[in-house]
Amino acid sequence: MADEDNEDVMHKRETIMADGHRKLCFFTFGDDAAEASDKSDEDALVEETVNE
Amino acid sequence: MSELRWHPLVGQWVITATERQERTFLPPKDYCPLCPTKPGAFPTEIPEPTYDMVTFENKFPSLRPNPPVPAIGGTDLEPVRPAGGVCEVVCYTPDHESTLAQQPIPRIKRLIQVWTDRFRELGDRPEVEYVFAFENKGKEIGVTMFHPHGQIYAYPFIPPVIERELEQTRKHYKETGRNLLLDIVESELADGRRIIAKNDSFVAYIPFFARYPYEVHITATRPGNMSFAEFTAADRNNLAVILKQILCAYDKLWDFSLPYIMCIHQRPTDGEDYSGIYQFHIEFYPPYRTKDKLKYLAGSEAGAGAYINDTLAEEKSEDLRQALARADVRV
Repeated sequence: MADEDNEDVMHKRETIMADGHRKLCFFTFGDDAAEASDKSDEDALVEETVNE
Repeated sequence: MSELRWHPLVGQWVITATERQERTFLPPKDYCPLCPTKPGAFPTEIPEPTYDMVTFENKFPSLRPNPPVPAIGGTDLEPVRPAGGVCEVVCYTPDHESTLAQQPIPRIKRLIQVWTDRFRELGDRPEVEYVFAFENKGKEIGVTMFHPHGQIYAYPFIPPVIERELEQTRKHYKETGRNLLLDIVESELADGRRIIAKNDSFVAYIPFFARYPYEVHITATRPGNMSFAEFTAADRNNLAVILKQILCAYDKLWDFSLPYIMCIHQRPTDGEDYSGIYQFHIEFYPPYRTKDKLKYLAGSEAGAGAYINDTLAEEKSEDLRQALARADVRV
């Protein structure tokens, strides 16, 4: 069985697509999530990190 | 044009979405809209050179957050509603040639984290009564893009299959005071012949009443686990493990990547309390009945709703257990 406590931190960045109305969410995990949360995107609608 | 039209004879909504006729159909690999956008190359739906996991609203949705006013008027007999809701695409990986079965367990666990986020966010929308995550895999199922991906439909109503399940689970609870899905699991575990895999949170089996030869159900065994929202980190881990086992068993069955429909059944998000009567479960419907023969939904199934299974669940379960052993999944 895999390590039950080893769950990656997840970072979500929500933006609007090129057509101007559809939502797009980028999810990054682990070290990439920590890096993403450090450099916030000012164009993002939502930025959040879970399981910190 | 897009609207919901009521089918009074069977008591269900039909989604009319004519724009979907124009949707992308089997694009060549270099023009896959679900791949990352490489510098100087065709701009895909995802405007970055790579990604880990991505969800986005479908370009050709059946349901949309700001639906148009229906183009046709309804009647008392056949009412019409705007087709509100959300249709999202979930890209599992930037690797165009991969499949969900080929993803390592930690990556499947990440996908479960993404599904959980989407269940919570879409289910919180006031117009959404049901969040349905699913995957159509393989040309036999009718996929229009081969890039590994799933979809999420957030419906403004509880869809008929779930409604029927809830009718049955409520009836069972009223008659016995027990959870029907947990009773099915208990019965399967007691019999044992149809069990494919199990762990501390889930059991995978071909049900006694299977409609398809290799129809596998993965059911949450911890009472109260009705949706992704109730899972612990251990449950997510255990779901990733058992999903990997079933997907790999499917691919080892005949040593080709088995097509399937994967349906994730969860409690509705309509504000009602489903405690004690429902359990999270995944249903797989692979279309093959032998290595080179498909099972079609024909007259009896499509026209009368009466399924005919040409095989015995007990024998097909043994096939899948042997395939799982050959797959040698390291958990």
